[in-house]
Amino acid sequence: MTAQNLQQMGTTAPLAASSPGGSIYDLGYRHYDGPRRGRSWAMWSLFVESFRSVWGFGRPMTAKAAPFILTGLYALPALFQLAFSSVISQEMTNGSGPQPELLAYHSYFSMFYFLVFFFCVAQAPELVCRDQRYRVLPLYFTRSLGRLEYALARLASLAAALFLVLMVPCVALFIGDILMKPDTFKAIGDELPKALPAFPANGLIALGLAAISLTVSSFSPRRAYSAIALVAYVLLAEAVPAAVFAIGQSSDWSWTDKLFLVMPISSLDGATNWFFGKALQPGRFTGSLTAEEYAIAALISVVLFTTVLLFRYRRVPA
Amino acid sequence: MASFVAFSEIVGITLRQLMGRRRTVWLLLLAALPVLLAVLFRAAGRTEIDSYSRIVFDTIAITILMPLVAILFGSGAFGAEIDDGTIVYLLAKPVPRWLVVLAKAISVMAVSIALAGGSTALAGAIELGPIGEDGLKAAAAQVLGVVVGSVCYASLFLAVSLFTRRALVIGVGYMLVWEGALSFMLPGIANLSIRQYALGAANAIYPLPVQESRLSSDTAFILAAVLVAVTLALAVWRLMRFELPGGSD
Repeated sequence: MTAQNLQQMGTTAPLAASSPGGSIYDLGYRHYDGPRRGRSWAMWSLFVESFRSVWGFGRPMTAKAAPFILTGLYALPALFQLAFSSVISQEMTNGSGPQPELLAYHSYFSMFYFLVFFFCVAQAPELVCRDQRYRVLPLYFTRSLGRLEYALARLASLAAALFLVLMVPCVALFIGDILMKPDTFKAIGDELPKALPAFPANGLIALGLAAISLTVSSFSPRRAYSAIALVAYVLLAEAVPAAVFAIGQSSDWSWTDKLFLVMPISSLDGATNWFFGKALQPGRFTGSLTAEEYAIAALISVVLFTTVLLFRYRRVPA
Repeated sequence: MASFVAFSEIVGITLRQLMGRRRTVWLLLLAALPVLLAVLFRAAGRTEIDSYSRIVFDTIAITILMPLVAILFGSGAFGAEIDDGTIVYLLAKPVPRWLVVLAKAISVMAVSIALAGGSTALAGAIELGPIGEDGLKAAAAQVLGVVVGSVCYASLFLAVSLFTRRALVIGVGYMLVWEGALSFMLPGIANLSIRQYALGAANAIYPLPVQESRLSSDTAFILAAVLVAVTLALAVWRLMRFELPGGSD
């Protein structure tokens, strides 16, 4: 068939001339003539759908158990403090007995980070593994959604979910701290500047954890293997720099503490301290690194892991 | 005789199934880590039982390497066959079920011990060998601990993989929550923690300076033996009543 013939067919087909649909194999089916909303709309739809599936909406109850239980457990200590805020405030005004140790915005993540990490281990493979396992990626990519948009939408939804998980206890702490003070409006004014750094800090934690866990998960179509790989990566990336630092401590190796920058959890923890303008706790952080350097390392790791994720999705078999 | 042939046949097939995968490369890299750290110790000019046991053996070999290897292999031995559906061919053969479980268990234990125990032994020889008799004893104790731990983990998750298809996820959860978080908070768990069995068994040769070793060696050996016997018996019981997945459709 010559090119001229093809062109003729194209022009003679009744609907093909006006519609952007394919005209080579026009079998005469009705065309879609509704609005075409394009790439960004498709990304938004995928984001919403992923966000719902992180929390198990649209799935059976068993799928909702893990995310909601882990979120609840993570918020539990803060909710306790909120529930007993009146008792605590009485003790504080009495001044008798030991002053109660209150949970603080900047150290909350470093105390209960493992629950957020479990959340990642449970839900990140959920987002990226099924599509590879059941080979439905082509169904996404035949839409106006590209490979990179797919990866970015998934990443954004996991980060948004993690941000929510991280913010719940901060809000509870905020309300509790206000209720402990006698003058509510003055308390809000006092408390707000202390609490506001929680937004960027938790945003960075959410992005960092989402980037790491989604990237590691995307390399296997089996959820169980993804989960085990993620656990292995994070445990080792925390343990090995600490081990190397401990080895080098007695024989003056000065470079070993620089390795702390690759620790996924600790660097996010250090970055949180930077956002709140706190000094690093000497018990938890050893070595010469400052909170600022941890913050930069955390940002770089977000960029790095996102790049690897996009690279992976450029060539993942669809 | 016939059962011996079947036994060796199943062992050979299982070994091939377990090793002939891409994940074996990753596990080899993981097993190389303690050896690299031991080399680093020597490069720093340090040969100490105390800090080596704490830094490399306690935090990496027995907490990360041994459970990961044994859980992956243990749940994969039957799990992969159930997923592929090839377990049909195994069960259709006139081989007693206890022999099938035994063959699978022995091959899983062999692979786990070869990887985790071999890595611990090599690392121990590099770092602790030059110390002399005490060093060799400590290294042997570490290897014994890893061997006991691998055997326990492997048989436990071999059994679990016959009861549920999510054995790997349960394994990760057990390793993180039970062994990681809870056994530090609740000391009473020591009697039900494979990590404690491994550390207790190591005490039989040399009292390793690791934190949180709570069981005496006799208790540890008895509890480990009970665990292996019970889980393997459960696996046999389950395999005798095994229903093929999707059989009712």
